[in-house]
Amino acid sequence: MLPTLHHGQILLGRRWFRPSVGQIVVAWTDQPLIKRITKLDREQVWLEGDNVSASTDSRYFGALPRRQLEAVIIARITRGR
Amino acid sequence: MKLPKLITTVYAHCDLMCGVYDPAQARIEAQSVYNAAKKYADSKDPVFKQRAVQIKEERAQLAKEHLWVLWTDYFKPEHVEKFPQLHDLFWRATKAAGEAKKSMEVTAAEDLIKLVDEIGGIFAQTKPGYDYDAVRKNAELQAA
Repeated sequence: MLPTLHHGQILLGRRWFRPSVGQIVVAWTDQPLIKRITKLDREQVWLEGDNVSASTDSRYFGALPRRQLEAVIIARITRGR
Repeated sequence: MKLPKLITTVYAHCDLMCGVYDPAQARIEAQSVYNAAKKYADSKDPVFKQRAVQIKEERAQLAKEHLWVLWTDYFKPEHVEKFPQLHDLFWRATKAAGEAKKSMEVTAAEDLIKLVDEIGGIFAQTKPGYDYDAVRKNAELQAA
């Protein structure tokens, strides 16, 4: 998610939210994944990383069910490194 | 809901944290393959020739692996859209690496270099500021 997010950065998220395009969200795959919503419909979301050339995201694993969204990022607490 | 804790680590899930990909790796190995084949052809020393064969095979295998990493990890669907020849080019390049591994013919190494250069040229078009010409010139400076 470079350059938007950095390794070690502390973020604040909110679990209950209405998904919308552009949001940075945490989704559950085999681990908690943080990406940006680029498309969504009533049932699924399409997630992509901001670091387009190095991101493994919906371009590879496809759309995710909306129920796999866990949280939306609402603030960055620290800058990371 | 699966997030187990109030504070939890999340992952951007890149293959590498801001992965470093560079066709220079494949190009250097391809040059080594060429040099080994050329030195083999120029040598009358049977021990040297044996070593040249072995080293050439090692470097050709490395060239193949570097090509695979670029193909599978770096290039993305949008690159293939822009350069529809990409998959075929990588297929031919890895085949050329295999051929250069098996053969002592300098022409096999030249074919490999040519295809790696073609990939390098495309890579440069996908990465603003990347100078593949410099990579190629540096490798050629060391040609046997």
